[in-house]
Amino acid sequence: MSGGRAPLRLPRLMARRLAGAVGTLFTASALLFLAAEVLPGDAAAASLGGGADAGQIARMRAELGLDRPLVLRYLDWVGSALDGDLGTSTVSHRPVGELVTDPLLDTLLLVALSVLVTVAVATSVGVLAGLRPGSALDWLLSAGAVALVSIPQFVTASVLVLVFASALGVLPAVSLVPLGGSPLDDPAALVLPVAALSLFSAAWASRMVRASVVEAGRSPHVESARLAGLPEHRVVFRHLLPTTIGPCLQAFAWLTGALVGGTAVVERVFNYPGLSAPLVSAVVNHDTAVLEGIGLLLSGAVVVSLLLADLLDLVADPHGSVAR
Amino acid sequence: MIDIAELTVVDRTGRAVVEDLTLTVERGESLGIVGESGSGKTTLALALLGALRPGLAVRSGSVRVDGHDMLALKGSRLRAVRRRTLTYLAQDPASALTPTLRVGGQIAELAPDRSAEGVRRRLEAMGLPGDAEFRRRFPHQLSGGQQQRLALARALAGEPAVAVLDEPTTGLDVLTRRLVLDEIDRPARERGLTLVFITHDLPAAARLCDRLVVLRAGRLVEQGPTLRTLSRPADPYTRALVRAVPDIAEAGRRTPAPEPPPGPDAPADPGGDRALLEVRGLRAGHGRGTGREAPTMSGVSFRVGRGECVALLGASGIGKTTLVRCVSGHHRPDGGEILLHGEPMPPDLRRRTPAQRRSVQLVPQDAVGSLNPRRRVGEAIARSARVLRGLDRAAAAAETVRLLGLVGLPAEWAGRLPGEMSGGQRQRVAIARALAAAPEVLLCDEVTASLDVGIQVEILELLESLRRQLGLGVVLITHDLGVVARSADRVLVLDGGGVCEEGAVAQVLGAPRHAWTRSVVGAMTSLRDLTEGPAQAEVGAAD
Repeated sequence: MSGGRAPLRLPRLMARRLAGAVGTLFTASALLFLAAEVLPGDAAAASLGGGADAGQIARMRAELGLDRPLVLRYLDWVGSALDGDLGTSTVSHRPVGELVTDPLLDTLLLVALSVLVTVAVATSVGVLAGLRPGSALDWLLSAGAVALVSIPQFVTASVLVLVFASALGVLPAVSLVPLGGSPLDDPAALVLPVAALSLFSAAWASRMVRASVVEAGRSPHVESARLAGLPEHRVVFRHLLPTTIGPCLQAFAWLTGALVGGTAVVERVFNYPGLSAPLVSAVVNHDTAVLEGIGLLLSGAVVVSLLLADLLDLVADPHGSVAR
Repeated sequence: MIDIAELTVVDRTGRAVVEDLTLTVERGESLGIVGESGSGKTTLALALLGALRPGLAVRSGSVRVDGHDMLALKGSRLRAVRRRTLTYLAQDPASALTPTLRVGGQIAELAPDRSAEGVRRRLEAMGLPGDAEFRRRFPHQLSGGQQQRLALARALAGEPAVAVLDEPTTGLDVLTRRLVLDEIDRPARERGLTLVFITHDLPAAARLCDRLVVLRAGRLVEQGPTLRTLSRPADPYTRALVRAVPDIAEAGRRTPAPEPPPGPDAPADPGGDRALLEVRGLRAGHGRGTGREAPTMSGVSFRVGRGECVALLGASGIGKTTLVRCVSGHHRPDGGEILLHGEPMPPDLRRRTPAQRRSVQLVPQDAVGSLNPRRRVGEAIARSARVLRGLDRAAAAAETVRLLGLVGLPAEWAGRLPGEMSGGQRQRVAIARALAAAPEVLLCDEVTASLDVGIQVEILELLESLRRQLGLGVVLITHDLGVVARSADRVLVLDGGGVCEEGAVAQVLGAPRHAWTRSVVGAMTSLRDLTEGPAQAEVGAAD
């Protein structure tokens, strides 16, 4: 009989995931840069206003370095981004970093709270439904989830405003945050935006959790634990749920990406002070530096959350550390 | 200890799964319950634990274990009995190990003494290391044999008085099966454990049990002391069941291999020593790039003559399946030659001629996975006949009916979907589909492993008659040495990337030379030897 397998190669696997995340981020940055470049219009012309002639635009292009080859400009941009310098807005002539820091933090706060709510709600609903597949409770929760997934987010948001702000008047409909203030000063204003964002993702994620719990519930080790006379709570918490963590973590991480995208709509509906306002005005004004800066930061946030899920998965699921 | 009285269990349609069954097991006795699939064995096993599969209901009767009415107990009282009195082991015991629970936790959770010291003693009693490092491992960090031992240690951790074993050896290779049987047998004898061993594996039942009960379609057919029941079965059904079991001792009694018949479509060149199929120096491996593992095979050569059956033996993971998949063109070898009628065949299936594709057919290990779940089985068989043999629709339909009959399925089942059939029935469809191409070489990868002995015997007889009538060459992969002894003419043993032993079946099974072959042959229980006295001398004398 052989003496079992080699010890965990955890550090190596983690390093591999980290390298993958860095690679992903570079790919994302290149795509962003290209996307900003192919946007119709020209940053030089936009920053000079409508009355500029061709000579002025050409001088401005040279000044902004827009006449240099694309690859060089990309490398410049990535290089200074690595130094923490995201460039200067061609419209307000202020550093991009300074412009987007506060809105970024507000958006990330919204996303983080929504992820927490999503994980909590989706896990409880999914587990409750999945433990007794086919029961009345399962049917009810599943029907609710499917209904929520099929309704667009801005409709959910508007209904929430109608019910809780207009009809009941218990929560503020818009987030009136004074300039330089934080949404945390008035936590009640966060409730509706977070709810609007999380309802959809929680409904979707609860389906993933349910499927994974149902599958684990049919595995031989769970049947054997029941037939060994272990109490039900022990069967569920020690034998059934731990094997579902891996697939669920992945689902939650992918949702974080969707939530980041969803903030754009929800922030508009609730007039929340996040990145969506500067993002929209940057697109309208051809403010490429701001556009690229915001894009890079948001994709960075998504990549980090996927990486975190991967690393947690490696630790939580001992099998994966050898199998993959 | 166990008292089953007039038990009748019915399914939703009211059909009896177990019918009017009365059975008692004394304390310390070991009872074997044998029967084919559909005989109600698993329902009976679960009823002993007070559990019934969804859709089943008890119509009448009672099940008492150590005085507890198992069908009436509920909640914590039922759990207490399951925990202290009874233990249950299902097919492939290691699959009962929760992958996220460490070795120590697997035992401590069920043991009365949860201390590190108590866990260590239990592990060591099962022949496992008991040190802290081992206790902190996860199941996947153990070898296959250690996993099986751990699962048994877990099952016995609660010091039960009764063990209910439901096909624990099904699907295991010879050596693991032997290990599981030994590790059940030992505590049973040492601690006076009462055993209920449910199986279709008669030699395993013969090894473990004092008394046998034969079930058929939910009814008790016969019961009595094991040896007497097996050697002098009173009921015709039991007699057929015993006779159907392929036995390793048959190797020495086989009539010599039939002379390959010339056959209607014999090759123009009847050159005597030109083999039907020949493999020369085949090398193959798995994975690609940096993940490429050490080659599974580094130079395998063998020949298969017309009408000959060659069995491939070897430990799990040694590359038997890879080898036949190379021959069938489904796996790309790294080197070597595959010759059909002396002509080299391209390794890639897509580059083979239609005649070559038709000639070599594979019946894969996973018949269920190889059948399109949305295609009716009749279409699956007819398609093979049409595409590979060029039959027209009507001829292919007639051929499908003939083939279904050949593998023992009713012709009207052509309209069924694979999902509407049992595992054994789907296996037979896969064989019929391979035969629809009218192959010259049939590669059978564990084709009888999931079949009951009765059907297994039919399939083996079918292959035998095709070999005699059409000169079909068969390559047979199986873990069951009884099947090898009954069907094969020659045996190849694979080990260390090549053929380590080769010879006539009586010679290899009767006097194995390679260490692995010796250990496997030694691990087999011969039913014939048990019931008819030593036949080993006969086997040994045959070469």
